Amino acid sequence: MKSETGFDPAAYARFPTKAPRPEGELEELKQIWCAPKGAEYLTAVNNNYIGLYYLGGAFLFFVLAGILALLIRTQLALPLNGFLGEETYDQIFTMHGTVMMFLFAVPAVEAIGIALLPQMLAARDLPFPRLSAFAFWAYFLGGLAFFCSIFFGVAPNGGWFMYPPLTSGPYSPGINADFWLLGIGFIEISAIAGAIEIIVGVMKTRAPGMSLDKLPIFAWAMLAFAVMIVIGFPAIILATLLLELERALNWPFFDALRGGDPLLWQHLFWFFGHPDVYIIFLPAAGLTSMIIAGVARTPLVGHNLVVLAILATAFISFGVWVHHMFTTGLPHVSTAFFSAAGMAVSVPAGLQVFSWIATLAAGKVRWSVPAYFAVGGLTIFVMGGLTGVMLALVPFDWVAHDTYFVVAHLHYVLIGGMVFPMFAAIYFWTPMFSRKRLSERLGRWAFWLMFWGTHVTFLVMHLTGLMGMPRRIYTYWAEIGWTAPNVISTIGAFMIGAGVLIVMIDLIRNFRFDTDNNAGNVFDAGTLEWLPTGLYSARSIPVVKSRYPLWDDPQISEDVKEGRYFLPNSATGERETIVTSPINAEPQYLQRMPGPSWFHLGAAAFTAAFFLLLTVKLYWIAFAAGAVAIGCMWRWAWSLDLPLKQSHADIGAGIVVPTYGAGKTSHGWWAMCTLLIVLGMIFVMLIFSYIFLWSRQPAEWPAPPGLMTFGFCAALCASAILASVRAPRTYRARPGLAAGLFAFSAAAIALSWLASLADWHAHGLEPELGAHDALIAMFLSWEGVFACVVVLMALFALARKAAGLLAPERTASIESISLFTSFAAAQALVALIVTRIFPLAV
Amino acid sequence: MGRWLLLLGGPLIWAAHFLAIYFIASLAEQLRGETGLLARALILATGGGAIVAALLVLAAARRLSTQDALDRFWRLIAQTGAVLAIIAVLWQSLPALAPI
Repeated sequence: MKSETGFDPAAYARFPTKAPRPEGELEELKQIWCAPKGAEYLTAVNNNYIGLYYLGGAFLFFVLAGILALLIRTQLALPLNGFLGEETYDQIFTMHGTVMMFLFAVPAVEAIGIALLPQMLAARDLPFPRLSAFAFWAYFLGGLAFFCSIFFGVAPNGGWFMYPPLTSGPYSPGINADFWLLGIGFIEISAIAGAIEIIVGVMKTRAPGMSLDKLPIFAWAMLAFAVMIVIGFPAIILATLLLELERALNWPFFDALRGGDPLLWQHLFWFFGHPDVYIIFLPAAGLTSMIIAGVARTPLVGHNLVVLAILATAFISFGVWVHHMFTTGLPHVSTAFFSAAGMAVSVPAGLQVFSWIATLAAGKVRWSVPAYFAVGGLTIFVMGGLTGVMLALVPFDWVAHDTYFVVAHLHYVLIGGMVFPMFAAIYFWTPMFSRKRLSERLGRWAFWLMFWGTHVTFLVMHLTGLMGMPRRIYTYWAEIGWTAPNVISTIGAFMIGAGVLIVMIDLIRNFRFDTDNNAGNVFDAGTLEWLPTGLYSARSIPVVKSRYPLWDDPQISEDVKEGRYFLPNSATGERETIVTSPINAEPQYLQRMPGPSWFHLGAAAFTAAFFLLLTVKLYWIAFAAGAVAIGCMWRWAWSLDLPLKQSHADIGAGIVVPTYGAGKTSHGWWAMCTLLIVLGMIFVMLIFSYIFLWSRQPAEWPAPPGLMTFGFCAALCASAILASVRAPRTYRARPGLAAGLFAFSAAAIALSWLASLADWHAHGLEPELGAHDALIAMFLSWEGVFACVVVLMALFALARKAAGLLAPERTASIESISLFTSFAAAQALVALIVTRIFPLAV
Repeated sequence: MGRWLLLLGGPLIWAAHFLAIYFIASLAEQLRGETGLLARALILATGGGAIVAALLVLAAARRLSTQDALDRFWRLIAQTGAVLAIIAVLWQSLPALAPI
């Protein structure tokens, strides 16, 4: 194999080592990765805890949203039922969809990723444990507060996709819609934080030798999931920002009377919303692939093609957003393109289904509860997929749009594609985290109740839809003839509820968290997460030579447990993991990992408080909470990139690597690049919004101010780019000069922003009057936020210089600041061109 | 970077083609109020260009080494992805042939 980094793969032959390990080494490892006590459970960052907290939180929201579903079904069971009032019903169905999609589905798969990936990749932990913990706490605290809005009658009531103009100020004057718009804000932040963690984790912290062809399917799926979040979530972030600004400041982005367009919301929402279905489905499909191979005790058939299917699904799903907008009057040819893409996306999904069927046929299946849930989910998902192809046909969609047929379809897809695989995963991987496995008997009861409950509820619901029952109505007349199918659906919903209740009883009875004395590899699966583990993950990190190391090397578990592979100890006396190259997984350096801390917890709590206080219009307290959140993040960042005790460490068998990575090798560089892609995508969506609204009324688009200020601002931005790119290059020789260059860049960006602001103000900018001015104000606000952040970063660099924490040999922080500052300047330059040159050019 | 482009070449070509034809159709609607003959010809030409690009990816992938498992994996994904892209581009171009 050709080396990617200069590392000699022949060195892998030194493992497993033969010499006995020193006394006390394992005890030291256990001490460093010890379990929290008392209040330390709040500050814990280890993936075993955060993964389970996250999963517990997601399961809680699943149950809460499920209870809401039962209330909906009770109300709809009989005609003219008075169980729920109209307004309460609106809030309950909106919260059911919102909580299931934003507080359950995405966080649940992220949770499973955080819980399983380090063990599956044989890393000690994911590379940013505090970021995972931050993501969890922001999501959980904010999510609970968001959910409680329903008890005060102020929960969102505009449907889970919140279309304006219904949700604009005049038609939704209360704070219900604001709860959705701002409440979703912290969930987006949490999802993106988790996605960054997963991308860098999968690309950079794999066991040595685990080249991409040996990467477990679930890791591929999580990689695609995280990349899709990075590309897709920015659209919903921008959409929620725009609608909240329209509601709070009367900036008319979606008001057709003032040059806005409600369709802009639909484009932005569904550019996120349709891929979101695959964001949820792909990791669940990854779980199914792993479980089916495990229970069939044979390698996944067509592994490489399944990888291709995951990649293809990730791409094609972004070409399907208009699938939800066929009835909005878009041009027929454009609609046909999306119809074609809607059908095409079923091909890679189908490929995975055939792979699972072939694997089941090729192996010797042990029909345990995970197998039942995996195969049951497969069946349900295929049925949902088939109605999906029907809905991709434009004429059929015109008939079925906004009827219960669509509700039945989406529940088949999501329950089969995500919920059943999640339950399969709970039953399959519980022995990894618990002293006892879950009950087979209770699990089978739960499965059959949920399986038949799903069909009883939703199969008949297709018919209800074809009989004409529209979505979102809170009652109906008996004479219409919808009573019988609704009664049947309600019975089915309670069957599903009973199944979930049995799983909860099973978890309460049998789940006992323990990593050191867990139930073990009860399914005889072949992947690395089934190695003997502790809170430090595997005792030693094995060299990976195949996709199913435990099947191909029966001795590997014993060798790993005895410390005969990489990093059998703590090489630096701290928490650490091996950072490897992205393709071949060759060891590059030893990453020191942060331990428990209050700062990420404070940052999460006050970030959630900031958004929720904004919702209830306590602006000054909200801004104070925001300031405290920033303070916590500052302190958190301050504790990173500190001086090293030793520059190199032996990670086993005499292989010595640095204890620090910089540049493109560094995990920090990867994380910053991923963050910039998120921010860049938000900006691209803003440009799309500008061009979209321009295309609605090009003749009435006002002329921009003169080019004098444009030239001045462009020169400032260009000089900021040059200075910030130059800074890391001068850093090794003169750290102080580098900090000064950042200060110059920040000042140039801030000055350019102020000059632009003044120029537009002098030009008569009135954001309330029309969509053009509102968009310009949005561009300026966006740049203003970046100007503030780069000023904070420059102050951070100067403060580190003053504290003597800038050292020439440690460049990672400076490189991150350089990347962000260059990006901010380049973005400001593009904004200048779009807002001032584009209108003159067209 | 080149290796990654080859691996993802097929899906990337599909995505670029999709965006391009959506843009052409939208522009035609904006300027002329319909996706007329010229726009449809452009859409088909874009499809032709995308297929040529996918064939180039296919040819480049065929030159990849098959020495070890990782090389074979890379080659298989790149080749199959390019073939899928050709089929998907053809499929995606069909609406341009529908009656006006």
